[in-house]
Amino acid sequence: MAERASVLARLVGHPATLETAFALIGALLWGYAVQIACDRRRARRALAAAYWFTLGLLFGFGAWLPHWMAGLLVVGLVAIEAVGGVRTQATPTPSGDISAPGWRALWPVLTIPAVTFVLAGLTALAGGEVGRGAVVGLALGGIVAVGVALAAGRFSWSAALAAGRQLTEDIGPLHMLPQLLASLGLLFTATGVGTLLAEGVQRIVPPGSMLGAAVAYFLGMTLFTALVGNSFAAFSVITTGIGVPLVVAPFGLDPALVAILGLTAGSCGTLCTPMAANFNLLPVGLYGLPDNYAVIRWQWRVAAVLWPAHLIVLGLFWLCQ
Amino acid sequence: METWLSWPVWKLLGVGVLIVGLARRWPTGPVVLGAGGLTAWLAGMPLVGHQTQPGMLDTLGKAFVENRVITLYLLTLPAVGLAERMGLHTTMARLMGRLTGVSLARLLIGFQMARVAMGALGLRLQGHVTFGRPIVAPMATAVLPSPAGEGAAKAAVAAAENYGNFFGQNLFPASAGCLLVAGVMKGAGYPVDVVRLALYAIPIVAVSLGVAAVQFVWLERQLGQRAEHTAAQQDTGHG
Repeated sequence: MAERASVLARLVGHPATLETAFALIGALLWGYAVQIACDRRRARRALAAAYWFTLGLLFGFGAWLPHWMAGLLVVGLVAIEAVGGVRTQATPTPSGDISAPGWRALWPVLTIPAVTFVLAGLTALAGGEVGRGAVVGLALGGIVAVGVALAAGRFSWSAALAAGRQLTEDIGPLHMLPQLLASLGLLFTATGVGTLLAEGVQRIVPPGSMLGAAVAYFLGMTLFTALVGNSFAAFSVITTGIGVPLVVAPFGLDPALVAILGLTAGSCGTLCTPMAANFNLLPVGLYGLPDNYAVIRWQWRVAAVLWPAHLIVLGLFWLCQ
Repeated sequence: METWLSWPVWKLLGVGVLIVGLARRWPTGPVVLGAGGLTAWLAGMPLVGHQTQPGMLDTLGKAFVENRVITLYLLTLPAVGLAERMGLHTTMARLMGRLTGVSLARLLIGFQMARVAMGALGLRLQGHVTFGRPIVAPMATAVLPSPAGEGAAKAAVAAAENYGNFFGQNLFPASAGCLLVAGVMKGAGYPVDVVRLALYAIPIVAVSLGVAAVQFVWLERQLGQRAEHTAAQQDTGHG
């Protein structure tokens, strides 16, 4: 039993496991590309097909490509996005057949979290890394859920491919944004922009003050998010610039705690800004609200109470350490 | 000229490009890449690196490939798409209709809690289009004592969706947010575990539920008082 458990932990932790998942994503994206290329009704289908083909190449063969070539492919993706080669639709609209609703529709979507949590739990029991188990579980859950959906709805494989393609294309290049932003964070670190930001903030924050540093980090996250309307973008810049050098490094705080609080401090900014149009302005038209700032007027008050709560949570954890 | 260019603050120009571009709603990919490219160029990074110095394309490609895990959820989209074709949204709507009681505050709190639960299960759905507008907003206006507060009640529905969605999604360890945080922290030299991230997200989720509940109860009272007030005025008017 113990041996079997450690096999699971080793399997989950093995780099080839995740690489297999990436190869599957690559195959999936190539399937989308073929479907798009064969769709004669579409205008500019060559560009869109090229986009998803290139992305599939990056996913399937990313680990074997020389880094500069992967970088070149990423530049190519962004170039296709820049000339409008891929559809962007900020708000995915629910599509589907509502003639025969039933509880069966819940099976596949509940399969994904069920497999994720079970594999994460089993990995933990086997002495492996829980987070890695959750990630592998998400991939496995996605695969199992397709099987469940195919069986429950009697769909064909090409229907599964078409359904996935529609959802993927609806979100379009926004899929790549978190990954691009993580790359930007690394670029900022490599070129010393992070250090530069930290030095600038250090002049304002009294040295050795954990409260001052935490205020600077959380406030930076909130303001930068409010400015750009996206807490993910703010996270890579402000965390490499302020969070890590000024809060995590000098005070020995748990990096996971500081980082997730930074992200939610950013969400406080999202609640207050018209820049997050998807969340704060779209409902104005959608719900038929009397004025443009009706939603933000509610949200800023809650954000104003939540923000200091971040400092309190950090302080409580620090005291309990 | 040389000293003028070596002023280190020029490197921050890339951050400026990022702010202006995203704030002006330019296409995000080109803005992010442009900001990165400008920063690398100002820092004197070569396009393709050699043994001693990494280049811009190398750094970009390496980071992109190493962070593929953030976009792992692409593998789950065919199943979600099929579920939608089986009527997922209608089923969710029915489920939501059963979850909530009668008063406005309870409806809003229930909606937010339902969205937090979906986030914790990793179900990524656009709530305004899916639930807010078609289901919860009509329910909210139906329980109002007078139609005067309709605008406020609907705005509160939108706010409940945002509160539940923003904070709830961090509870799922394999969510894009947690994976982005893990990716950035790894790049900064402090690798973190995604399950720890999800656990540490709990306090703020709890506070957000509590604060929002106070707000919703306050709104219900406010609207109730206003309705009583107008009713009293009408009585004297007809008196």
